[in-house]
Amino acid sequence: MTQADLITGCQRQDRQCQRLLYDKYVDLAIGVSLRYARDKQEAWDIVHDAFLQVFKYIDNFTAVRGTFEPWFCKIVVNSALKKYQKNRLVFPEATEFHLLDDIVSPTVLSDLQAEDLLRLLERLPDGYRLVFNLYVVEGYRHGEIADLLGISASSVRSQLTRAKQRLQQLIAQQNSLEYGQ
Amino acid sequence: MDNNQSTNKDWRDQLNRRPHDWDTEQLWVEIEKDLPKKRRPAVWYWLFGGTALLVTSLLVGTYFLSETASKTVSETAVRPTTSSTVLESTTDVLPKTNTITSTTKTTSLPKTDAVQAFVRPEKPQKTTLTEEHFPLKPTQQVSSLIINQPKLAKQKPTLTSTFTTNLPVTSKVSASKVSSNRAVLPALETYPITPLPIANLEPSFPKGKNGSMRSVQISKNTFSLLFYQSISHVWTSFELKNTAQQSQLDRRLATERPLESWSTGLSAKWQFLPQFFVEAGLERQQITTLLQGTIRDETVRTVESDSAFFYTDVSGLRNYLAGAHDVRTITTQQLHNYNRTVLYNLPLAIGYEKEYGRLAFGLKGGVIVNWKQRFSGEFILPDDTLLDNESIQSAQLFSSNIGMGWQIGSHVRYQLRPRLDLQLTLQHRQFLGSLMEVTNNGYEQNLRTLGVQIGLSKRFN
Repeated sequence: MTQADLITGCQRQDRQCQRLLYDKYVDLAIGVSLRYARDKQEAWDIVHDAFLQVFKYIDNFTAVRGTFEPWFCKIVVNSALKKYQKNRLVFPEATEFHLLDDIVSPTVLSDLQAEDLLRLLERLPDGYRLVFNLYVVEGYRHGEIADLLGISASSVRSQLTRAKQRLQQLIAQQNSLEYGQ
Repeated sequence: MDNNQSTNKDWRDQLNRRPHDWDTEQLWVEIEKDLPKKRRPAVWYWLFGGTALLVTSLLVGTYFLSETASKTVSETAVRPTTSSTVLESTTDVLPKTNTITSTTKTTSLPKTDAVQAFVRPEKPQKTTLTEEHFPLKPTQQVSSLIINQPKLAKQKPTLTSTFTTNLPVTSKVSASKVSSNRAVLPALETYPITPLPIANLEPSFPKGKNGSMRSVQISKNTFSLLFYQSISHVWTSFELKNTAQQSQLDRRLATERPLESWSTGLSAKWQFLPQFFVEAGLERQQITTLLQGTIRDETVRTVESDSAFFYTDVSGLRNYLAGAHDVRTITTQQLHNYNRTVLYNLPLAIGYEKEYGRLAFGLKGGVIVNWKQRFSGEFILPDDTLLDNESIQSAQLFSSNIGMGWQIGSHVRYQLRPRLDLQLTLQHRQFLGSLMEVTNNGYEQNLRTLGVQIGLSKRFN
C-alpha cells in the first residue's frame, strides 16, 4: 500500500489504514515529542494528541502542498506548543549571562550524538528548549516562532541566544567532566 | 522555516529517529479509544426527557381519570333489575310519650324506571309531639336514604339497619326483598344538629392511646415550600473538545484538592397523590472548581555562580580557559487553577414518598436546567484566598450559558409540627454539558456532585 493509499484510507476513517499510518510514523512522533517534553509522560500526551489531530484533520492534507512527513511533524510540534500554552508557559525574565569568550566552536554541536544533545536539551529551561528546538532543529524563523508563541521577535532572539549560551555551558561542563576523568 | 537547513538536517534526522522503549501498542490502544465515533449525546437528553414527561403524564392522567370515574359512578342512574315490593319503616320515639308513626306503603316499580323512581314522594307524616317532653322539634323533611353498598344489597332477603343518634329518637328501618344495587330506605326524620364549638381550629398533632403525638397524614393535593441549603463534593474532569481526549494529568490534579459546592434554594412541591409528588425549584449554586491547566509549584529564586574551567574542544585541537558569571532567575509559574463559578439552577423532579408515622422516606429524580454566569471568574489561591490581581483574567468563556443536567436523590422528612417538616436529602447531580469551554484549547469541563441538602418545609393543604 502506497502512502497515498494510506492517506486516502485515513481520510475515509478506515481504522486499518489509521493503524498502518500510526505504525509508520509513531517513531518520528516520539522523537519530535521527546525534544519538547519535560518528561516521558508529557511526551506520551503530545504523541497521543498529535495522532488524534492528524486523523481528524487529514482531510486538509493534500499531496500538492508537500510531502506528508513535514506536515505530520508540524502537527506534532503544534501539539507540543499547545501543551505549553495550556500550561501557560512563562518565559524567564531577562537574565544576565556573560561568557568570557565565545568558547564553543560550531563543530561542537555537530559532533554531538543525538542522545547527548537530547540529554542536554532536557536540562534547559522550558522557554529556552522550546525556542532552541523551533529555531535550530525545526528551522523556523524568528518571526514565525514569535507568532507561534505569542511573544516578540526580539524576545525570541534573546531566548535563543541564552539557550545557545546555556547549552554551550552545559557542553563545556560535560566535556570538562569527561576530560577530568 | 529554512534557516540553517543544511547544518541542522543531520541533527534533525538523528533526533527524530532516535531509538525508544515506548509501548507503542498501548499508545495505539489509547489513541484508538479516543478516535471520534458517531456522537449521540442528544439521544440521552431526549430519552430522559421523554421518560420524565411520560411518567408525569401517566401519573397526572391517572389522577384525573380516577377523579372523573368516581364522579361518574355517583351520577349515573342505575336501572333497577327487580321491583321493590315491601318497604317498612317503624319509628319509635323515646320517651314513649312521643310517638311518630310513619305510614307504610308498598311500591311496585316498573323494571324500566330510572333511579328517580326510587325517590319516594313526600308524604304527610302523622306526628304527635309534646313540646314539654321533646324540646327539639323534628323537621318534617322526608327523604329517602339510598345506600350505595353492593355488599349490603346482596344480603337478601331482608336488610335491617338501626340508626341511633344522640337525640332521643330511634329509627328502625327494615327493608326486604332488596336485590338491586341500591336499597331504598324509607324516610327518616332528621334533626338539625348544632355543631359543637371547636376549641382550636389550628391543626395539632392528634394524640394516640398513650398520649403520644401521632403524625398528620398527607393527603393528595398538598403543596409545600422547602427552603434549603446544601453542600456537595465535586468531581470534575476535563475533555479536549476536539479530540475527546481526557488528560490524565488534569484528572489527577482534579482529585488532589477537595472541591466543594454550596447552594441555596427554594423549591415547591405538589403532592398530587398521597405518595407521589412533583417538585420544582430555583437555586443558586456556587462551585469551586478546577479551571484548567497544571499546577507547577516552582519557586522564585536567583542563582548566581562564578565558574572558571578549562574547556577542550572535542576535536582535541584547542584548549580554552573559560569563566562565567551566571545570574539566573527561575521564575515561578504560579498558576491559579481554581475558579469559582455561579450557576442558577432550575431543578425539576418527580418522586415517591412513603410515610411511617412522623417520618417519611422518599426517592426522586429529575432534570436540572441551569444558567451560567458569563464572567471572568475569581482566581483562588491554594490557601483559599482570592487573588487580588485584576491584570490576570480567567479564560472562562462559555459558548452557551444554558446547560442541562440530571439528578437523583433520596430524602428523609420528619414532621416537627403538623405543617412544618425538617428534610434531609442526599442527592447526586451530573451536568451533561460543559461547565467551561475555552475557545483556544477546546476544553470541556464535566462536573458531578454528591451532596447533602438540609431544609425546612412548610405545608399548605
